[in-house]
Amino acid sequence: MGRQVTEGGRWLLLPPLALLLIGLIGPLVAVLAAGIAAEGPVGMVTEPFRSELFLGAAVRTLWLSALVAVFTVVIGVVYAVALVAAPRWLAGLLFGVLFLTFWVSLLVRTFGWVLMLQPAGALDVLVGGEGLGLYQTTPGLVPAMVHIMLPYVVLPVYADLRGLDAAQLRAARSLGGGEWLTLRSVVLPAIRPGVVAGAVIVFVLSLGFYVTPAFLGGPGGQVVSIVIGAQFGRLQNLGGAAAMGVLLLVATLGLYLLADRFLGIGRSWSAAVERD
Amino acid sequence: MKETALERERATESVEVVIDGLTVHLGGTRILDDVRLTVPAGCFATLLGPSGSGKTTTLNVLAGFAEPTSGDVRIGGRSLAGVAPHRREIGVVFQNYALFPHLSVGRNVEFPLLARKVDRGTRRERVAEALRLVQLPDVADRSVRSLSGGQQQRIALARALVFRPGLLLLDEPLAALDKQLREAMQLELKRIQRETGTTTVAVTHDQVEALSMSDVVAIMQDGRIVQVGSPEEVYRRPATRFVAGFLGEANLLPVVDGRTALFGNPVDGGGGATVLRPEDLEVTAADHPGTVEAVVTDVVYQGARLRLTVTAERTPLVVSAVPGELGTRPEIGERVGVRHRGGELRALADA
Amino acid sequence: MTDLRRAAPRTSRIAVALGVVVALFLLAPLAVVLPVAFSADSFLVFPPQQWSTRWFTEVLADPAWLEAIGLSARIAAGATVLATVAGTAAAFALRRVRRGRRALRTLMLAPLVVPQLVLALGLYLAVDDLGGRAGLGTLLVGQAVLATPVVYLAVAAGLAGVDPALTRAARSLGHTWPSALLRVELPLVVRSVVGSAVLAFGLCFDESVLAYYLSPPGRETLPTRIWLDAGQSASPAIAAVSSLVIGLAVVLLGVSVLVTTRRKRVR
Repeated sequence: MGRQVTEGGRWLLLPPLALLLIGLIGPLVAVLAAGIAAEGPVGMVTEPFRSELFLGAAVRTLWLSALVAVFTVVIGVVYAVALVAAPRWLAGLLFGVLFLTFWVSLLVRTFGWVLMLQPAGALDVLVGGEGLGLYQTTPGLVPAMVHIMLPYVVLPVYADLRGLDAAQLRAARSLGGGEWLTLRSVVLPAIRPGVVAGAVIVFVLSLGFYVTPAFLGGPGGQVVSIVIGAQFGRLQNLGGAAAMGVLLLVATLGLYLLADRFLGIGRSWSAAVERD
Repeated sequence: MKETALERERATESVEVVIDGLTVHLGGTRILDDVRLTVPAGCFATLLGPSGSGKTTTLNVLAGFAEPTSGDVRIGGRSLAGVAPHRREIGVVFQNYALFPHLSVGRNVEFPLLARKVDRGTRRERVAEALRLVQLPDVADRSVRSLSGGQQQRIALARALVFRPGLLLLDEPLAALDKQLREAMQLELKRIQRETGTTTVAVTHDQVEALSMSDVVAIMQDGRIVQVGSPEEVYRRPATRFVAGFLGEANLLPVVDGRTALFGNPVDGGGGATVLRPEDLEVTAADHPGTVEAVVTDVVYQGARLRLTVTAERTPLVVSAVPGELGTRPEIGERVGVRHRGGELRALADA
Repeated sequence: MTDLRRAAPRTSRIAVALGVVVALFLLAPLAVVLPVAFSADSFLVFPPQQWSTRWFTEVLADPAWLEAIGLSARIAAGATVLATVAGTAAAFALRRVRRGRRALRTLMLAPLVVPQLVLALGLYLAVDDLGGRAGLGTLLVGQAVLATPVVYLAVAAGLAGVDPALTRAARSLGHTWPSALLRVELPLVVRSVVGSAVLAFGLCFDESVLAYYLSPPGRETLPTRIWLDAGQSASPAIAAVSSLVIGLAVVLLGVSVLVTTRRKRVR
């Protein structure tokens, strides 16, 4: 029989909508309102760009996010392939490591990176001598952020790989294709949705990221969230902070909405979770 | 044998079901068009038709899962307009049974009784009764997964009947079963329905199923009922070409002056063509008196019968023959005689 | 998957080898924290010169740390309850809603994408606009919002595997829609609900950005204390606390795995 029974939908939406209205939409509207109140609707968009601090931070944030996205995708794809191709016991271990890092506190992981990257820290000891000089620099942020973002690429790509049609793989081989050709014609197209979804998510998340840059980014390496946070923390110029917040919000939400509309990100996430 | 509670209440429980002018418009298409059917109390009716004929939609409307644009359904005189699915007192057996995997068989069957606030003792009794009815008295504690397909269907039936609904709906009841099981289940379903006396409406696209189980068959096409009658009536005296073809192989012959072409048998009614079933025709030796000359064009051995295709006066005919009857099996190209075995013929209304 | 291994053996081997390297990379920060926690030194020195468990005992005896842990747990629990109810209800609702399903799903996933700092700012401003002061209640709501998408995704995925005919069957057999939901749909996704609730608890316990900006002074959650301490002193106490957090994560992960892979019992 065809139709789904649809009663109750309205009632069931009450709790989540109420929560999101109070906890998400309300606050975001408040940020918008504060931004407009401080600088006016037009000023809200243009004022932040007048500040050199903000401009620098914005450019740095974009760069960093792009870099992190690229590295995460490359490493993530390799890890996903490893998960699929490894013998079962090893795949289990690799999975375990991935989930463990996902579950361990973000703060603790970042702290671990601090211990590694700081002068006389672990990495310096291992590498010996001069040290890597990565502490509190923007490039130093990249490994730590890739660490955090990895699951967001690995999971969708893994889901895609699992969905690979074994028959296609066999066909490619039996038709005489070499390894590279098989990869290129069967595997790469199959993982494209996961890679794209992962890259977009990582990029968007990196734009708004706070914790890791707070610990590992130096005074010269501020990202936009840090700039906003500094003003918020000192409770000065909240209006200005709000204006910057609006821009950051537009960038992240805007990208997310575009990606969802044209690339179906939401569906990709759901598929990835199902595989879990 | 001790009379069961079900048997005792049979006479008082059966109700008449009236489908009155159901019309369903959806997105510009007319899915159901003024469907009317009266199912007498205790009767087993089948809605038969190809996919897209509207039979499933009718079932959905009866069960309360779809709203008609206009029209009404009455069970025992009580209208179902605006009544929610859970208050309709209708038992439904879904195509894949929809048994709850997280509950045992017994708890599945008990489920409708929970909604009706039946106390525990009575629940246990009724569940036992229902399981006896479907001849699976010992499976109450088993998991649904451990049952075979045929057993699952019987449990679904038990669950749908345990609360003594006025109407039982069956959605393609035998579709998921393999052939041998299907025939056994046809008899089972019939027996159970007789025993409870519950008015039943089944929906199927399989004409053998419909003919073997029903008291009444309603043939649906493009959202309309095109013929209603007993299985024999719709098979032997189809009203339209469509019905004729849907219910089995049909030889359509034009009717001239109240008689069929080729054989000249009298035909009732004023239409321009009539249907001869393959089993109504007989093949004999060529030049046998009273037969029409024909040439064999195809022979297919089907175990229980031989399916012969012959051409008589440029008209192809399909003839059923019992393999032993003819002596040697006819060959392609052989000349034979064909005749009509006799019996009433009725003209098609739309030819 | 052996097919990939057979179809591209060289690549597979390289990938697996690299994968192990990446796994080590993933474990590195955790592996660094643990030894430091056990060091006897007063400063964050790697590798530790001497070993001792003194930092653990110090932390566990310090009322300030214990209070922070307790506070984190309480707020995380409250936020988890809200998020679980909201996320589960949303997953059920989206199965039933005819129009606007796409928009609703986008909304449900939006908290994952909104920059946490902007959300913190927004919560602060919103409460301020309404005449109040942002405090632990605000924090609880904020964390609930962040955790809801996690629950929603997991329960929605679980529901996708549930035959819609089951709900219709339950209704046709006489049950109202709440009864059908509670007796049929919910039991079939219990594992997803509980598993994601555990994950949500972990996320809320660890949530640091909202906590840092919204905790009133003197009532800090654990991450906030870690943050503040890391900024001020450089003692291995933080490493000790971090190790405890890692331990908690392992326990939670284990619980979650147990819950989601236990075979369904038939009642």
